[in-house]
Amino acid sequence: MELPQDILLEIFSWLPGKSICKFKSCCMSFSNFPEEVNFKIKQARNLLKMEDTCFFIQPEQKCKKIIELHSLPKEKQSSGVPNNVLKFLSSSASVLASSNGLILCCNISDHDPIELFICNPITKSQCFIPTPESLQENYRKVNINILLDCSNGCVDDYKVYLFENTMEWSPTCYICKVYHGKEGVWKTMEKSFFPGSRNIKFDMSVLHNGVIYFISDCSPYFGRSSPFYMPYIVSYNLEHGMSTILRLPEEATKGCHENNVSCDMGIFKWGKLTNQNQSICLVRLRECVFNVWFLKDCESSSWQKVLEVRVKALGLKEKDLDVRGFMVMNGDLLIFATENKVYSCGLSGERFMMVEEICSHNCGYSIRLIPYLDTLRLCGTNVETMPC
Amino acid sequence: MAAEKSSIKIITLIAADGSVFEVEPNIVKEMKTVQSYIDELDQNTVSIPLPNVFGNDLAMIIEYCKKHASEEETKEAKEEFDFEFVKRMKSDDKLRLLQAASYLNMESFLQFMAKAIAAEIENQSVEFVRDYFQIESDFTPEEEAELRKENEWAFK
Repeated sequence: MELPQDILLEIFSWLPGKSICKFKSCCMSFSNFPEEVNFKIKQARNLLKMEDTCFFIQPEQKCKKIIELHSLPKEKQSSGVPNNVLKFLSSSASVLASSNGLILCCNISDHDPIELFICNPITKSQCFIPTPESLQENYRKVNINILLDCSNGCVDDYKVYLFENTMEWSPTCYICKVYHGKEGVWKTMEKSFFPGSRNIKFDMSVLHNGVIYFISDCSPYFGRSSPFYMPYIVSYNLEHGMSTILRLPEEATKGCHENNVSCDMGIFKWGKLTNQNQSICLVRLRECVFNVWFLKDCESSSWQKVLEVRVKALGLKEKDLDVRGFMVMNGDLLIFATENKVYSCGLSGERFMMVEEICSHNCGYSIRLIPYLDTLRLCGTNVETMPC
Repeated sequence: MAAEKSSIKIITLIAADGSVFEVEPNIVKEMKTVQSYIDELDQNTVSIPLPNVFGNDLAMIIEYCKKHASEEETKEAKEEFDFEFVKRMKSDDKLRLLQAASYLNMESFLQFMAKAIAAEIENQSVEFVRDYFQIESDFTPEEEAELRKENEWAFK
């Protein structure tokens, strides 16, 4: 049965980037249409409705020069990025954020001022973003608090959000700057972000319904009398610029900053893409025990517990079970890494508590995980070919 | 116009093999080809020949539309239905239904079938895909070798 070209295009527009590249060898027309702008736009838009299939893993310290990409076991053959692109990124850059197939990177070198760029590893295209003033000097000392958002309907545009510390103490204040790919300029949001006095983990943000959520750290640097004694979540509404503090579940804050106790918390998106009740979830790793809650109602800060499990009880073969990093992917899959390996653990449905070994890694002690899906999404205007 | 449309109670669809299906107006809403035909007519009963769709396929499409048009079914039940719907199909069935969806101009059903076929082929080989769509390579051996080399990473 010979299919018309437009139907074939429709089918191919639901494939991840790696499969599309493989099937270029089928025939002439299959090798041509992935190059067309309309097809790239369609594929990227369709894949907004699909789950992430891969994740980047890299050392938390940006100077280490390692970036690995691994696919979930079922997606190994169909999703990934070219090795030479990964090698190029490893040697010169650090991944800061990822969204709908584009990744936001900063280059690492000893002398140059910092450069930010957006790239698509599948199409090997990149475009540079003007470095905001606050990152032009002393950038090695400041954190780059940055987010990438490609989730909006407009598939040839993206937004980058940057939070600049004003160094004011009371109240702590960050200026929020937005960069539109199409406009090519940084704009300052009218209202600044007031996250309370704790340090904020800007690399663990969740963007949900026009609101960015952040979690604070939980180090014990405040006395009991301080309103910021307990860790908390703080949100920033992108529409009207309001900052709102959200309480964590009481159980999660209990004993989270006792001396000599390791406690790490992170927030992630909760619930499948198709689920209308998507929300955020909180993962706490304290003394080698994972706890997961999801936010049932934002206004009343009411949480529901999903999981409590000792890492040792997950049946892993390794002896040293120090978890070095974790995240929740696709709204219901806990991904965590030990010093050498990465595992997944289901958080809902049939895969609840099902543990699977995903891969080995060489990123060392302290790592960062960033989900990724290989699309052909356009990088915007002023696109260059990646030098690899 | 609106009053006339709502007066239509039953729509008769006649498949390529002559089999006849009587459906309610809300079922064909998704079939834009059929709907635009109805909109142009000024009658209370309509019978529409669909020479490009076979009876078996039309039956399946109607089953799908009924499930998805129902307001009583939960989202989960519809998802479960979709899963089972595709599971019982062979590759040929999927391709035929996809073409029928394209002919009937059914946007979401077309996407649904395209997605199902994409999921079936994504982990397969180049040879499998050629076979699946009955296409032949129009490359010279050199051209194909070069393309494979260029995209070597995608074969691992």
